[in-house]
Amino acid sequence: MFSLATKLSFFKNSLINRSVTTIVQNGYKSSISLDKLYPKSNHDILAKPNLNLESNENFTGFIPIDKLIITQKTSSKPGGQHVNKTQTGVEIRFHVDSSEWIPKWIRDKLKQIQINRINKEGYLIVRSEKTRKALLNQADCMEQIRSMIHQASYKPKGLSADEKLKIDIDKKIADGRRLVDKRTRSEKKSNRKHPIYDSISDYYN
Amino acid sequence: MASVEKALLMLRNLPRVALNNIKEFPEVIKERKKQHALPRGKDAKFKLGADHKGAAQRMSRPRLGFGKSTPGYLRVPKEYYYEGHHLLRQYIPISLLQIQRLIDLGRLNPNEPIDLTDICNTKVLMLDPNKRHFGVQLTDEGADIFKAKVNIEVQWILSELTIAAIEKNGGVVTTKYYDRDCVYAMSDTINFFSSGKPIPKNGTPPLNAIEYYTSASNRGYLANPDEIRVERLKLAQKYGYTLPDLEKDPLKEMLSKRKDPRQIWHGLEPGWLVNLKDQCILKPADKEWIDYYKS
Repeated sequence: MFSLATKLSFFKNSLINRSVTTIVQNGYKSSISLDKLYPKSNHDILAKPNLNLESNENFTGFIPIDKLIITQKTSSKPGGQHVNKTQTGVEIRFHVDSSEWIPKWIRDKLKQIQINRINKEGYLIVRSEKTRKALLNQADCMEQIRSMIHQASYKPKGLSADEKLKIDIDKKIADGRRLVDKRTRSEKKSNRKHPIYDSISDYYN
Repeated sequence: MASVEKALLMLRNLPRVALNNIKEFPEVIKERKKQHALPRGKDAKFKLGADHKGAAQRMSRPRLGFGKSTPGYLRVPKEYYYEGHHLLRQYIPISLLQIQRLIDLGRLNPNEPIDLTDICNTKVLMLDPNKRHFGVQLTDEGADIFKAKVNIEVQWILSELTIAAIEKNGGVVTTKYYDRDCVYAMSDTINFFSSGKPIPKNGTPPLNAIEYYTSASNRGYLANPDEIRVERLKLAQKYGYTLPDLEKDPLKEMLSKRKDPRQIWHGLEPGWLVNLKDQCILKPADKEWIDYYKS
């Protein structure tokens, strides 16, 4: 009906060495416009968020989706014509050795743990037919992959000095108690035998 | 005219024989009368239910249920299931499948931002603001099939699958709250313009909706744009698609168009009077009015 005249203004920020684009809408501005509610934010929703998500040492959770091979296939469950015709099942595979987005040590562990999912050519395959929508099945596959990588990147925390000290003390106490128990038990058994006659016992009897 | 001819003429004009113009069997009528008939004669003493003398004859029996135990109507607790239902907001559902279909058939223009007015003008929904319909909600049926790149604005979204399906194709979704007056204006725009009222100023959402419309995960219109950018990335990672790069897209300007929180239509401000007959817009000149509509 009536078209709005928008104004695109570009600012170059030399400190960050990146050009920041902000979209300023010419036109009506009320007292609760977004400029006034969030004056410091960049109001361009379609820009890329400036987050560094590459996994160098630890897995950050970010998976570059163009490195995965996603295929949609027909599901194997019952359902008649609809299930035979629509492709709602999703399979995701990626080559483990050549995936640079996973740190090396995690890659090796992943190969050990998920050996059943990796085929001869080295591709890790994940499938999902859980729901009736391909997008949801795709989300399920992504969740599986992410949790697998998180599982492989688990580093046990190790014991602190206090914990180690406590373990030593507990062990010594347990040893002491064990030895006392042993001694009492052996005494009980030897008391069941007939008494041994010495010179002293002769004197008392 | 002979009597036979008369009779036949009558028959031609009389209504069809149906259940509503047939008399019942006389036995059935007699039976029914017997059921509701008062007992008479020697049966009357025993069957009318009233003793001789006593409370029954004197019509002074207590009310139903009164007696030794608590009566039924006091035993069962009250559950106010429908309390406040006359104050609740309703949002009519429209699915992604319907929107894709409308775009394919040419009833919705994907090259312009899609609004509540656009959806109402397709006459696909029966939106009646008198029935507390406060707008439209998007459902996720057809998320697999959705292919259009749109800038769409609805009033409520329940599942994030709809948001993912739209953003996967390079589109933009926002959820916006509209006042009652605004919904009246948007649902039947021509009627509203002919009524001679100035464009209303949209109000802030009620208390139980503020959290929804200020959260970035619902793409609320009052949410922080920084957070919305992060949420877009999060959804893309969750559902397994790359966010399309729209820097060099010719439609980028259209897709980043957003209305002011108090604005109803793109390009029109609250306070303006649209005159369709003389094809002109009247704007307020008094400072008080201008300040009011900009507050």
